[in-house]
Amino acid sequence: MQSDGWMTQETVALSGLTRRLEELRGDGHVQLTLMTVTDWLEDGEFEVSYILTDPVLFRTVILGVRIPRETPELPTVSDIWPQAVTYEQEINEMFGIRFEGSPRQGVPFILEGWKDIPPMRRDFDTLKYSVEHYEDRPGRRSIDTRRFVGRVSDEKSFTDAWEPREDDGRERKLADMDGGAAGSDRGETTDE
Amino acid sequence: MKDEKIRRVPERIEPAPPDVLKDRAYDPVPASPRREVDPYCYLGATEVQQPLAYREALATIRNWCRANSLWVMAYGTGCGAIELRPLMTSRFDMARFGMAPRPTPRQSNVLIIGGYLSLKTLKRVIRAYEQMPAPKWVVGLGSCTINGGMYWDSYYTINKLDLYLPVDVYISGCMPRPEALIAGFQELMKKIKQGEANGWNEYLENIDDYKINQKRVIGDWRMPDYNW
Repeated sequence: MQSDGWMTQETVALSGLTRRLEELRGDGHVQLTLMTVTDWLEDGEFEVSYILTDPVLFRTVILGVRIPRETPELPTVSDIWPQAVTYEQEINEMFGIRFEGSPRQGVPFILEGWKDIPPMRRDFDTLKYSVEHYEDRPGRRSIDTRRFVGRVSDEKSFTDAWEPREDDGRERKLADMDGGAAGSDRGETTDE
Repeated sequence: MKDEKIRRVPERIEPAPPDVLKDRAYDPVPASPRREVDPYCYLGATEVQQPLAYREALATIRNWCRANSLWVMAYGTGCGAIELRPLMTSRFDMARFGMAPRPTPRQSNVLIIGGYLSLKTLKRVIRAYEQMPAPKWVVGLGSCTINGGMYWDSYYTINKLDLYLPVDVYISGCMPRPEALIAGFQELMKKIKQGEANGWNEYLENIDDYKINQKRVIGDWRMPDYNW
């Protein structure tokens, strides 16, 4: 448990989640401010965080619970806080976590007609999906702002860096993600 | 592989300036594909073909009237709608161009796409566009409508608006200032006066291609098709 006076962060096991939430609610943390998810892809876990606020004493508790990515299931808290239904619906859509007993699970919230894996998971490749589904307009160029680092004092090199290169932004980003073009760019800027 | 699935909407080809004296087939009032005669411009909708000079004068007057009475649908799809609000205020004052914001597509004839379009919004925009009465124009606002803008790699926003709706004028910028919007609207008015802004006719002529493109990205199509 970490605390800096008014904000406390603690982690709880899945079995003690509902009991701990009810404890905190009885302790004065009556407002569910936010529910959010972190995708710990390397650990194979989701971390669902419940942010609870005490509006009288201005205390905040961030209660995290870790669940495995293979079986992402949680009990609902919508019987304690009714507004959690919307959070649980959105988390269900964006991360694929199922909340048992919550209404509107599986009902589209933003993504109407979505057929791929939930898009906020870290193993979902948004660029690849965009390339496959939405056509790009040819001629798009991107200017990497890293090329300007350290060059603003020299007028000539500044104008050189401003010259757009003959490459597509999309391919550049793809190469960047592979670690190809990023290294050369950083090399250029550190030469000076 | 990607190109095979996309039905190409034909590129807009600039027509050669007509030689009025030699080319007798030149018609300044292009006929709508579904409705042969415009009863408001062919007085009485008679079978008699009016003289060419008469029809030219009529088309000029009609286009001038249309260009000076743009009623804008106030439908903000993205952050670009922020720059539309100053246009309505006294500083930029779009009423001096004869433009007025309207709350519903049935009362308006200019649809401004103010920024990025997610698929959920695109569905509503298509529905709104098809509900607008016939002389109607689409203005693409900001770089998001042109090539995706800063959302070019997003999983739920389209990149090229003119695959799905006929765009008459694009205004570039992220975001364009109200002055840029005024310049864009003046460009639209110029095109209307010259009779070149026929996006709604192209939408009807290529309706099958547009529908294929729209249904390709929109997963659950639960709307009626365009049928007027």
